[in-house]
Amino acid sequence: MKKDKLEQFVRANAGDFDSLEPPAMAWETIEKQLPANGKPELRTIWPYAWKVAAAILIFASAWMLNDYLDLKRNSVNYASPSVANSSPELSALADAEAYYTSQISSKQVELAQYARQHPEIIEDLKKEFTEMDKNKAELENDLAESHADEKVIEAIILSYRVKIEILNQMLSELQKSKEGTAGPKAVETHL
Amino acid sequence: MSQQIYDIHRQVVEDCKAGNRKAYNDLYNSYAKAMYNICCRMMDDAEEARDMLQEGFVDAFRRLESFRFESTFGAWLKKIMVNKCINTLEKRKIAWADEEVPDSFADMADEDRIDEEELQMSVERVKKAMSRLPEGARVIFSLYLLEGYDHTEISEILHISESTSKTQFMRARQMVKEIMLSMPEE
Repeated sequence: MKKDKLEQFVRANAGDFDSLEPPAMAWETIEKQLPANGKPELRTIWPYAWKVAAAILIFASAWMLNDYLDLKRNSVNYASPSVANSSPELSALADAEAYYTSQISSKQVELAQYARQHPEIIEDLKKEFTEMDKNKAELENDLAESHADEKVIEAIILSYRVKIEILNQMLSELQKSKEGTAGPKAVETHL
Repeated sequence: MSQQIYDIHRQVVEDCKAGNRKAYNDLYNSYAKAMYNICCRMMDDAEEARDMLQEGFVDAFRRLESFRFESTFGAWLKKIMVNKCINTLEKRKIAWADEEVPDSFADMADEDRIDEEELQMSVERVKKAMSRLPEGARVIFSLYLLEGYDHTEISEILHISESTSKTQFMRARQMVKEIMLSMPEE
């Protein structure tokens, strides 16, 4: 591709474009707004979302363990589920997945408006969801192996609900923080 | 764990996190000029640029705890400043993609009708030309050429497509050239 002269010139002289001096009094204004005791303030959003997620996950794993034991105890009954029986369950799962997926994406769209003010939160959320998707993929494997076992289906649905719950919590926290922008301390606290 | 980047200001950032007030001032002094110039390019108004600079630093200091050296402090701070400016510009309903482009500039994106040899290039002339661009064009031109973001990053920052970012940048570049040609020679 032909190199553009203007581009080359600007890039080569980029340093000279930074010639303006910041206004002398700018620091004084910033200093007045430094975190009260000098320490950066922690946000409450993550810890809160984490608590919700953790609670749900603990509940979910206990519940799944219980079911797993159940499954073992009744393995004879579960051993040969007929394919005919599993079909309606699978199609119900497909419906539920479609519903939850649309819920999740609409909430993510809603969340996107906060992406600029809180880029680090969105970043964390992305990482978290990638991890959850991995877990869900494992569940889906189990689903294939277990011939559409109802418990696995419920676990998959639960994983969607956890996501939605996290999104709901974050949205409500962010909304609160938006309303409280006049007093930034309203959303931030020392933990 | 995410990879950490070597940062010459790491110790100062750590000192801030530990509550050392002088460290905040050190960080400010290291970055204020670069950040102020970014804000000036984005806002094209000295007073607004000062507001953005102050708000950006206050914001960055408040959320310093969430900064974990996954990029340099400078890159992190720059993103905060840029986002702050973009938010303010967007409140004025700036449309990044559909900004009206004067007819004379239309459809020129891919062709270079300008003889670049005729362009009298100096930093001052480019700066003047930039400040005569429509807002959206100025922002994309700055983000790409001076703030060092690529089109993928710009598309994320402005919520536009990568191809829009490319087209808008090429238009902006073309406009800068046209404006420079129309400027009196030095």
